[in-house]
Amino acid sequence: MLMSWLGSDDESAGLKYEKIRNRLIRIFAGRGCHEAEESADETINRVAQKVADIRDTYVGEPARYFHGVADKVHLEWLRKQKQGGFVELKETGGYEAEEEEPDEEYDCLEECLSRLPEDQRTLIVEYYRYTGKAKIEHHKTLADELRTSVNALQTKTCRIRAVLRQCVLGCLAEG
Amino acid sequence: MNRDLDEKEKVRMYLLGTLRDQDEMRQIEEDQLINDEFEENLSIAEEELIEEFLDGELSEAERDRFVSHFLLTPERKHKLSLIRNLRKYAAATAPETIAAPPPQKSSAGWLSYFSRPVFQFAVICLVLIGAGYGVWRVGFYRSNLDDGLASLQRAYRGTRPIDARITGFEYAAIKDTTRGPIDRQPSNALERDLADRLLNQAVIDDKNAKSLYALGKAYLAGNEIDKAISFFEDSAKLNPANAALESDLGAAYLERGAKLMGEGSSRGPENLDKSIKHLQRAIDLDPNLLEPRFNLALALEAYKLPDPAKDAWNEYIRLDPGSRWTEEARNRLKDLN
Repeated sequence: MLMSWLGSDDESAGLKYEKIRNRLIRIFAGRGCHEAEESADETINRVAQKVADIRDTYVGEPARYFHGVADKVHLEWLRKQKQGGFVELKETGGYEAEEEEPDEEYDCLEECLSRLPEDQRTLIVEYYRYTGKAKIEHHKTLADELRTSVNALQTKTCRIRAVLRQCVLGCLAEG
Repeated sequence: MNRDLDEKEKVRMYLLGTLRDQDEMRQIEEDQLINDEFEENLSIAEEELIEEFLDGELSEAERDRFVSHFLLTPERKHKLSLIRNLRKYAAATAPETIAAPPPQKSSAGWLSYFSRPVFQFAVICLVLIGAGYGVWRVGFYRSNLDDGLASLQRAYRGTRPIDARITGFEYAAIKDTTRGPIDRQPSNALERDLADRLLNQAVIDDKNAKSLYALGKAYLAGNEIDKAISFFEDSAKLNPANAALESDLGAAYLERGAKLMGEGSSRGPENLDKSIKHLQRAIDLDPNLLEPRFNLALALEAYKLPDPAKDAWNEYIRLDPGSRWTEEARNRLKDLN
C-alpha cells in the first residue's frame, strides 16, 4: 500500500521510495544521528503502517508526511541516547579521513572510467586535473570550452560522479 | 543556475552541522525531500566541501566538524574516497603537453617587493582584516556555549521545567495539578535537542567552569538532578564565587530534597540543608540576584518551616514588587497564611 501511495506504477513508486529513503538518511545524518539508516528505515516502517489510515484524506506531497514522522523518530532516538548519558560527539565520527583508499577502490574507479563515454571520461578527469587556485581558473576554462557556466559544469560533473560512484560500489561488491 | 551567496553559506553551515536557525534547517530538510533540483545542488555543495577539505582550506574547527559530523554517512565517505581517487587518477594520467597555468613571476628582486604598491595594499588589508576579526570576535561571535544556552531558554518558553527558578529562565506558571501530573516537557523539543548538542560540544571543545555550568543547567531543566548537581559541583571547583551557579546548585538540591521529603525519605532534610546553604551563598555573593531568594522561600516551605518561609516570601516581594514571579510569591504567601 505504501508503494501505491508513492506512485501509480511499480517503477515510479520504487524510484520515489529509494529517493525518499536516501534523503531521509541524509536528513538524519544532518541532525547528527549516527544511526541514520536505521532511523530512516524506522520512519518508512511507521509511515507504511499509517498509510491505510491517511491516504484518502492526506493532501500534499507524501514526502512531507515522512518528514513529520522522521521528527518523532529522531526525538525518540535522542531520548535513547540521553539515557546512555553524556554523549561524546567525537566518538560518533570514528573515521580516519586522512587514510588512503585501498587499491581495489582505485582499480574499480579505473574500470568504471573506462566504461564511461569518452567525452564524459575526458571531462571528469580534466575537472580534477588541478587543485587549489589553479583548479578554479581551469574550471572557468573548461566551462568556456563547453560554452556553459561554471555552475552548469559543476552540475554535469556531479552527475558523472553519481554514475561513477554507483559503478565503483557495484564493482567493490562483486569483489 | 546562480546560487545566492547567503543560501550557499546556509547550506555549508547545514552540512557542517553549525546552522543554528531551526526554521532554516527545517526548510533545507524539506527542500531536500521534495525538490530534486535542490537535492542536486546540495550534492554539489557536499562535493565542494570535500574539495575544500582535501585542499586544506577548512579551518581547524571546520575540519573537526567535517570529520565528526559531515562524514557520518557511508555515502559521504564514499564521495570523499571517489574524489580523492579521481584526483589521484587525474594526476597520474596528466599528459606532458598540458602544463599548469603559469604562476605569476616577477623579475624584481625580493627586497623591492616591500616598496611595491601591491605589497603595501596587502599589508593594509591584513591590518583591516585583523581589526575586523577583533570587532567580530568581541561584538558578534557566538560560541556553541552562547547559542546552546539561548536554545535551552527558548526550549522552555512557556513551560516550567522544575518548581525552582533556574537563573535566566523566563516566568512560566506551574500548570494545574488537579488534572494529572505536571507537564515538564520542553515546549520546543527541537530547540532542546539543539541545546543538548551545542552544550555537549562546548564541554568537549573546552571543559571549563562555564561550559560545565551550562551543561549542568541543561540537565537541571531536563529534571536530571543527579547529573545537574555533578556538573554544577565540578564547575564550582573551578569557579567558587559564581552567584548564579550557587543559585542553580541550590535549586538542584531543592528539587531533590523536596522530592525525598515527599517520599518520606530521611535524606530529604540533608538535601534541603545543602540547598539552603548554596542559596544563602548565592545571596551573599550577589544580593541583587532574585532567583536564589525565590528558591530560598521554596526550600523553607519544603522543609515545613512556615514562619521562615513567610519571611522569605515577604523579603522577595519587597525586592521584586512587580513581576509575574511576585504574583506567584504572593499566592504562596497567602496559602501559608
